[in-house]
Amino acid sequence: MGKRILIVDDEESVVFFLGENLAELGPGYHVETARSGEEALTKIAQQPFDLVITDLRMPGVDGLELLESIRATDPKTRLILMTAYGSDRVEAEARRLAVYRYITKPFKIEDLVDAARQALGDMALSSKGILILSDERFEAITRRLSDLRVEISAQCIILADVMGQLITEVGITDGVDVNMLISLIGGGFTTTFEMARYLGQTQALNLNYQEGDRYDVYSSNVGDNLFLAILYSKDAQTSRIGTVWLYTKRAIKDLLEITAAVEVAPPDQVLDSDFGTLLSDSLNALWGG
Amino acid sequence: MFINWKLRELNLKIVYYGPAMSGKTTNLQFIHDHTSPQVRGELVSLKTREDRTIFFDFLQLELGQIKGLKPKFNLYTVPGQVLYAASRKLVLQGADGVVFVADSQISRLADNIQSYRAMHQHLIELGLDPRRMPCVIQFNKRDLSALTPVSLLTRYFAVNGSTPTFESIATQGVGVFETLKACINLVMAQAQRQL
Repeated sequence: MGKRILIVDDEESVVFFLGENLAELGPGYHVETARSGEEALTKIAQQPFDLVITDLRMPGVDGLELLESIRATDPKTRLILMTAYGSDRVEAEARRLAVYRYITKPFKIEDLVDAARQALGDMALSSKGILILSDERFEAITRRLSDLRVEISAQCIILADVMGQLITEVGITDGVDVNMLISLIGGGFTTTFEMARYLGQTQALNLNYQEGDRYDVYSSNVGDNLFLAILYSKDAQTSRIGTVWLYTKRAIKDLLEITAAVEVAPPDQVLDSDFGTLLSDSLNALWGG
Repeated sequence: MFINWKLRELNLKIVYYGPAMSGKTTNLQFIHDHTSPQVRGELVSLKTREDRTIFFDFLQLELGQIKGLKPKFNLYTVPGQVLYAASRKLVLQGADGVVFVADSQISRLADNIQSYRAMHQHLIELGLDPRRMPCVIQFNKRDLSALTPVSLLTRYFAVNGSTPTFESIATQGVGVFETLKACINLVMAQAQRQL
């Protein structure tokens, strides 16, 4: 099912205009409208929305009251508040309610459409939890990466997620700050993932290549959440772009199969209940207190 | 939060956020200098010629096994300089907890507020709810003159009343470990509360 957007404004012309423009986001988006806070709450009760864009001043339930009600029941809904009557108090309230964007009228319609697209695009980054990776699955991933390293004669290959966490690495990483590399490459991929979402592409493959005097660096996404970084040290290895792409694409296909059924679980389902207490004791032993 | 099942490691990412020169790197430097080399890695820094953080500082701490898992804390700072807003947002990605380091000097109050607001906005844009993000506030440089009263700082930065706050002098280590421990404890408490 596509992303659901609700536009709330008491002015019919505004609701119509915004609805028409947001419909251009593409077929993956479903846009509905409401002419009051009360009507919006009724629609939300029937089926939740991913994004609610509301005017501040409306008769009856106003924009802030509407957002307060939404926040009380669903912390994940993205909120955009539009107003011609901005003030420090309203801005502070918007911040308190974790409003994604606070837009003052008059604004360019392109800015609102961009904000809506970004709000929904960023949602993919919001799921937090612990990757459930069995020993067998982890070993299968590492084995496949080792095979790839042999096939393309790379110095090292790193698999990480877009949140900047290392999954595994094979090869020689001496002299390379893996965490920094992951952060830099991951940052680039958040942008390309957003581009794929914008274009409505569900199976986009990004292959990036940087040729340098010390290293050649290849990177590619593995599905929506993971990416590979492949390093060649100029002193020791030579990379051939065509060969690297060919074998990397094959490896990505295999990695996608291996990780297809990987789950993400909330931490409390994975950690023992007294883990936090024991950790706190360890820290006190280390630093006193 | 990420568990490396092969190595039985629990990885936590904690980000030190705050305005330029508030003492974020000094916190990490003190932790590095006063923690056993068996537990900590090297402090990795990317600095400009003026010795300011350009991308981030990074320090990893690794504790012994607890319940079969080895906790690893990845501590990052964000660059405080105005120029590097994009880097600040990037470093916040995937953060499990945040330490906001405020400069207590009255002349820096506006910078603190601006930085705190920007942090909230970045978290929201990354799909993280600032109200649910474990956050500890550190009022640093309490040894200097012309300070903002703690009561005023608390009103600005510890808005929900339950946010832990610490007065600190990071150059001397005062409040440094207390701040980090509080942040780690908050992260774990939140992790075990989630359903």
